[in-house]
Amino acid sequence: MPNSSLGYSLRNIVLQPTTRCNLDCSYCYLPFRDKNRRMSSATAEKVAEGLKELATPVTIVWHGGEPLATGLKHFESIVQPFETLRVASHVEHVIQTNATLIDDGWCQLFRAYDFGVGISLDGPKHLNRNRVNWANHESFDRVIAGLERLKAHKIDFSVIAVVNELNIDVPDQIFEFFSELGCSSLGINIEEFEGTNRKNYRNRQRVQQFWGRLFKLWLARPSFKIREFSRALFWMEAVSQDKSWLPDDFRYDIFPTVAVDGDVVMLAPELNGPYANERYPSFVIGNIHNLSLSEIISRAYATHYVKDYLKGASNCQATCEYFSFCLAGSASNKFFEHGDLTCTTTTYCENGQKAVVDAVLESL
Amino acid sequence: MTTLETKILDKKKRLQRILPDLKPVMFKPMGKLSGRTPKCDHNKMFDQWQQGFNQYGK
Repeated sequence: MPNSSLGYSLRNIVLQPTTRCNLDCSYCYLPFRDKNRRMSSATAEKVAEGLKELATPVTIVWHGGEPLATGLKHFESIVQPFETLRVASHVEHVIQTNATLIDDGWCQLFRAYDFGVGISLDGPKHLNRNRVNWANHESFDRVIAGLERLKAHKIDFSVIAVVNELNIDVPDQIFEFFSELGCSSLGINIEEFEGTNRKNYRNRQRVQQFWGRLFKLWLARPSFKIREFSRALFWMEAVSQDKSWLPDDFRYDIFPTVAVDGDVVMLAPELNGPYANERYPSFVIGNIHNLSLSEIISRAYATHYVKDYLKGASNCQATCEYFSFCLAGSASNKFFEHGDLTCTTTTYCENGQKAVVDAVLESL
Repeated sequence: MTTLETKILDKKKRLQRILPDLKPVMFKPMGKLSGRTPKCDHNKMFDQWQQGFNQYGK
């Protein structure tokens, strides 16, 4: 469990190749996904220069919009500046995609640059109806076609599924589908109120029932990893043995997001957008074309909202018995739900953290 | 000790029984991404968990 001196380090950085997405999912939080604003090679080069100065390896998370919507040629032009660093094991690439645009060319790129691939998919076709294109056509068949290309190229993939009113009462169907899909792991996000999405799933009892049933199914047939249960059980084992499950030098990931234009926000990619209130007039710390990445990170440590998040974490630590598991939740949920990063409990905490723990304990 | 910790301790024997079979899945190598995705998508805590696992695995 983190000690009282909570602090930050840098382990992951999000890069936004384009604002555009070819889908218009009902719960998406991303603004400007109907616009095709793209990251320039010059911006990518500035980020690469910044990463080169860092002492520790960093994971680059490519996340849009839909990253593949920028096109293969452009995408490769902004990945290329990191190649020397990747070959030296100073950076690694991961990508989160809706999979609808994956073809052999993309698979070759994933292989060439050793990408880790994450797919967004909510379940079988009738449970995936929230994921539609701009003409309101369902995306499922194209996702499956993309996954077939990945499998043909022997590229491992994990899946993130969103659970909401459409699929929360059918954990059996979700489990059966993902058992057969061939994914290496499944992570589940209960729909959240953030960014441009104004809906929040608030029926805690149904959420806990969902987790409980899914856990029982998984316990009986643990053929693939489920992120939430793996994490919960690992934590519970540590608690039961009176051990810490985190390193002694634990620090929160400062988690910068570099937007298409080079603006950098910290803590959560969901804060990259036209969001502000009286307490936080802007989440942009600086622009990579005006300041180096190190300068931006140094500036971030003294920034109101970044400091507020640590205050919030201390408040969580002092008041919530789930803290050692949840570790204070997400900055974006705190902002979008309460407008204040010093706050404690959010609906995300209830649905995505506490309900998991409670359901697992109840089902053991 | 908190109420939650007490509940977990009550399940200690059950955990000891099930974890040996589950750990190969819980810690299954699964490519680099492994849920370290931003949140539409993300669970940034996973990265911290993974770091904890790295230490645990030593």
